[in-house]
Amino acid sequence: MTGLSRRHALFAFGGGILAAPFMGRKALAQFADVSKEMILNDPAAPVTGNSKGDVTIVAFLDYNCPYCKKSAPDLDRAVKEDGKVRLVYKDWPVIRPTSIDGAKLALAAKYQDKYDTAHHALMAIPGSGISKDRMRKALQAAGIDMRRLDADMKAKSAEIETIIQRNMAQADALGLTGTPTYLIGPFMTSTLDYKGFKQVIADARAKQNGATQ
Amino acid sequence: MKSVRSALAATTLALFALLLTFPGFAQVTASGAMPLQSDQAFRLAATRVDDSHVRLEWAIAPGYYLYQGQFDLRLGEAQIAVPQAEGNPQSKDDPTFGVTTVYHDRAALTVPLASDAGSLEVHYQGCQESGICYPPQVRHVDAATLAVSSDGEPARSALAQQWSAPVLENSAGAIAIAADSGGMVGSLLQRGGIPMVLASFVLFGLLLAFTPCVFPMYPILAGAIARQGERPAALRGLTLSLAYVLAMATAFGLLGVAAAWSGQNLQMVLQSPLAISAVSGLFLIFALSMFGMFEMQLPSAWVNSVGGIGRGRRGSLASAALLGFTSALIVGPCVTAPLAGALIYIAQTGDVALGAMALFALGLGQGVPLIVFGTLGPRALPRAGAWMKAVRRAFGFIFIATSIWMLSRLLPAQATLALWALLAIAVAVWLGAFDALTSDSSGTKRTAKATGLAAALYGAVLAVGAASGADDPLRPLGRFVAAQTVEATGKSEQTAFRSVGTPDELRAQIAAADGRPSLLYVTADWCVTCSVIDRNVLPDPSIQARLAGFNLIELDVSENSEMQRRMMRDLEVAGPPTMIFVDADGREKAGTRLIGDVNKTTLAASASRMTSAP
Repeated sequence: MTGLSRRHALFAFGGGILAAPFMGRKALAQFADVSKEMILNDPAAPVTGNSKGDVTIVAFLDYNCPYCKKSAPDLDRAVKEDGKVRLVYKDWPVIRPTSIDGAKLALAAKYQDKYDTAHHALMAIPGSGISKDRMRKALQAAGIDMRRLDADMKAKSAEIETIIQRNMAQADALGLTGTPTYLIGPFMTSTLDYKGFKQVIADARAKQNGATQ
Repeated sequence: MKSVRSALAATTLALFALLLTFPGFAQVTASGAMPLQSDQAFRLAATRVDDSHVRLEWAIAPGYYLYQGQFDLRLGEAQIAVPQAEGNPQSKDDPTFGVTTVYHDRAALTVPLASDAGSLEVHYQGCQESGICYPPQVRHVDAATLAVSSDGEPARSALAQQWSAPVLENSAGAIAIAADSGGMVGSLLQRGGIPMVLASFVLFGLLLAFTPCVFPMYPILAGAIARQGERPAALRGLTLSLAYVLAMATAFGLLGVAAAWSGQNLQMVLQSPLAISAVSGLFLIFALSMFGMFEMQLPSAWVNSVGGIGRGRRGSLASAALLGFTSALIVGPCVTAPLAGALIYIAQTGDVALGAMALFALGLGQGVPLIVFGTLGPRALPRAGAWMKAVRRAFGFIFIATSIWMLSRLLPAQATLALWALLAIAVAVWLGAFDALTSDSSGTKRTAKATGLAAALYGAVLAVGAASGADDPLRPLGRFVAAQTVEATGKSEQTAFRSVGTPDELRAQIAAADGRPSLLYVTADWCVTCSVIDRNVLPDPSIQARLAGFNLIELDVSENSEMQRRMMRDLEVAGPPTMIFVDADGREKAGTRLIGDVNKTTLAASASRMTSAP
């Protein structure tokens, strides 16, 4: 039941990009691995930063979410400067109908090893309710091979949709209220600034070390 | 006569000048705490306007907003045109967001919907300021019952409990604010909506009506009514007192508007040394008038300019109204818990309409006994006579006492004690303590003399106490009696609060809690309700026992310095008195914050919520 309001909302907004059968409850049950292990270590989820880092950040993001865009540069800087953070992206397209387009485009870029590039290009478009066309232009400008992207979107559509589906199920299981939500080690938080990210990463590290000793 | 006029004028001017000098506060921002569930952030209620219209109203939590462009209405398959939303649309222009129009506090849509139309689908979307944006929300409003239902919010599973909110280091000094720090008005609003808030404030006003600060209004009102005719009819008394009370309530309402607009805690203005001295002086003047030194009357120029014709029926109504309006200024500095709580809440939310209505209701409640008095009083009471003189004299002493009580916030305690001693001796003299009795003196006279002598004795004891440096009128000789055990009495007996002045100190104190929960008490020396708490609530043995396991921290914001203002903003505190309960990790516990109305019951309740299981 829990996941339905989200999807209901998306559909009501005319965001019928995700086909109805795909969004059905059966599909949800099939793909919904909502264990902590899959939230942290889903092999299909794009990962950046230090893949062997001691602190994992799981970022639930949407390409139409203003505060995701606002905190993105600070998150990047904090992760880069720290050097020991593993950053997992969870595309959770819930804010506007075109969010699903953004998520699919970004995930498709993974097949040409350009998820990061696509992600940053999409996050850099200011505002909410970005058209699919504008997203495509931004990706093209960022150097994504658009022909390859379209081909991958077609060929890998089931895989891409499964990831999104799983992310949605995980977000619902976590009771997330909106985007952005960051899981930083043992902490769950939303928009932070650079200082905030740095501090919570440090706290997470301290708490993890305290727990293992 | 002249001095009354200038004192009134000075007080009015001083108060308004102060009101104008306070700039607005910055928006409350998120501070690491997890956002509210969407139904708590945006509370949707539907009411029927008429046979064919329904009003949808969202109460928006402080720090949250709804998008103007994201309302959507559906009836079955049909889309309904979204009407112009009511509320206060604000344009948000941010390089990251683009330009959007949003609603804070409240938004409302009046939608054409017959009661047999079925279920209306309502779509809306909003964000938490500097926090998260919610997915689009859908609610169903039943056209017949107006019940609002949803398809269910995602519930947090056991899985979610593996993550907790971090404690962010900002100038809140390592305290993570709970999302629901709305305080008394907030919780009233949550329990019963606006009617509940208004009804409660009428009741609070009624209680306020029996505090000394309202006493001067009785003779003032009596004067205004009596002047009109020999023996005013009840209806005339009712009209005049109604005009008086309505004007007083309006003045309070305007205070609410000012509080909401300035975003500042007007308590500080009302309790500034200037306002307190002015009002204390006013009370002294009232007292002198009660002793027959002069007749009190509002400056005729004021009455004329307001009344137009000056004399006659309209003039008298207008003068009653003007008196009522200015009277509110007298009561203002006598801030009590409900007024303080209301002012804090209003400053915090900037809700002009609710603020004005709540304080208007407070004024009305305060005026109910005045209306009863104005209607029945002049008829029920004998017109004049010796007893009237006695009553006036009693009022005179009460006013002097009120004046001293107000001054006691500014004067050293020993000086106040000396003033009390003087007052007691003066009362003794007026009661005839030192008049000679003859063998045929009446019983009344003898009783008065006995009472007077007792007052004289008390006055003498107070004077001795003041000279010895004592500061408590109820224990003037405490210094002699408990000379050896002086450390064990008075303030040192109270649970000790450790004072902090900077975020770093606050962080250090919280860290020093050593696994215990902490209580952060935001106070100021100009905050009357705080001194009531210090005197009556905190020393109470049951409260002492409750707070024994707490790390007690005090944040004094008397100076209203830049640092103090920043800490208050980050702690989402609009003013003292505020009590914040945090766990050992510095996380505020939801629903425990006390704003304004700190008493034994509320303090004990919040303290026990902290110590009970999480």
